[in-house]
Amino acid sequence: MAEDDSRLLTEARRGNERSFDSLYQRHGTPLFRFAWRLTGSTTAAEDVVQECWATILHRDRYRQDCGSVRGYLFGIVRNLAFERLRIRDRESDEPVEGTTDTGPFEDLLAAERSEAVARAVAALAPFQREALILFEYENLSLEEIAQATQVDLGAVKARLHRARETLRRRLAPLMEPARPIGDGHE
Amino acid sequence: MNEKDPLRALLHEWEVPEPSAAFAARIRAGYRASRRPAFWERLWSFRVSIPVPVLAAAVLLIVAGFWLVRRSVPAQNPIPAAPAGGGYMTRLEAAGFQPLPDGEIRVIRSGGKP
Repeated sequence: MAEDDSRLLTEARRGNERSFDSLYQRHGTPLFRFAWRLTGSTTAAEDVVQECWATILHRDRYRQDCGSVRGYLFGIVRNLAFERLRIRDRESDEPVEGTTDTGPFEDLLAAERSEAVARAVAALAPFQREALILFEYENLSLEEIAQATQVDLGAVKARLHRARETLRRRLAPLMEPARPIGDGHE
Repeated sequence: MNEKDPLRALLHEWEVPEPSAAFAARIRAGYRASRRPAFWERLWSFRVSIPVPVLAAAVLLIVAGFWLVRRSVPAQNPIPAAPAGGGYMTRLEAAGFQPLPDGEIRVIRSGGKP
């Protein structure tokens, strides 16, 4: 698949729209999800992903011996998202989206749990956050994460371990098995 | 990091919106606008800019060339059109005609008998 991605990228750069479509079908949504999880904003995520595609088509920096196209793409999105976050932190005028749907009780509960996880992940150190998102949500291998984040394998493992430990601590109340109502202590 | 890890299950409760169809269209439009066209597409839209005097001279040369070529070809007699009404027409070609060597010449006066 990595070799196939490389071929598709080469053809897309030469102007083959079908190859570009295939590449987008394969990686477009995961890249958007990753950007969304890093930035917390649909607008920002869309801008980052669009810029990512423009970058890979016009800058001839990808080399097959440096890793997979997937790792390369996630690396670009990561850099662009962090750049965006730096700008947002400076200007601080873009609201971070939250899931504030109101509906049936179960939906509300699920939304609250989802929001709690989002907050806990967002509170991680940036390097731990990106490693965790890439590993847990986008199923990148440790090698691909190392490629995307430009660090060695040991650093990736350490960041993942620390991220998981922090989350385990912060989200402990949500991981406890539910007790039946009326069974608690008064 | 197994599948039954409660942390992992909880992490996957974090919901993320899907990118809209309009976004995919925007990405494709951006690609089309920025891509390097294929060879045949570049050939199809290839443009040449020529100054008007050069174009006029080129047109004059072409016209003069046609005229010279046409003049060097011998003119042929046009074939007469068939008479209206569907009658017969005889076309006599006298080129290469030679009278018989011992032919007797008879002069026939106008209105006379042979």
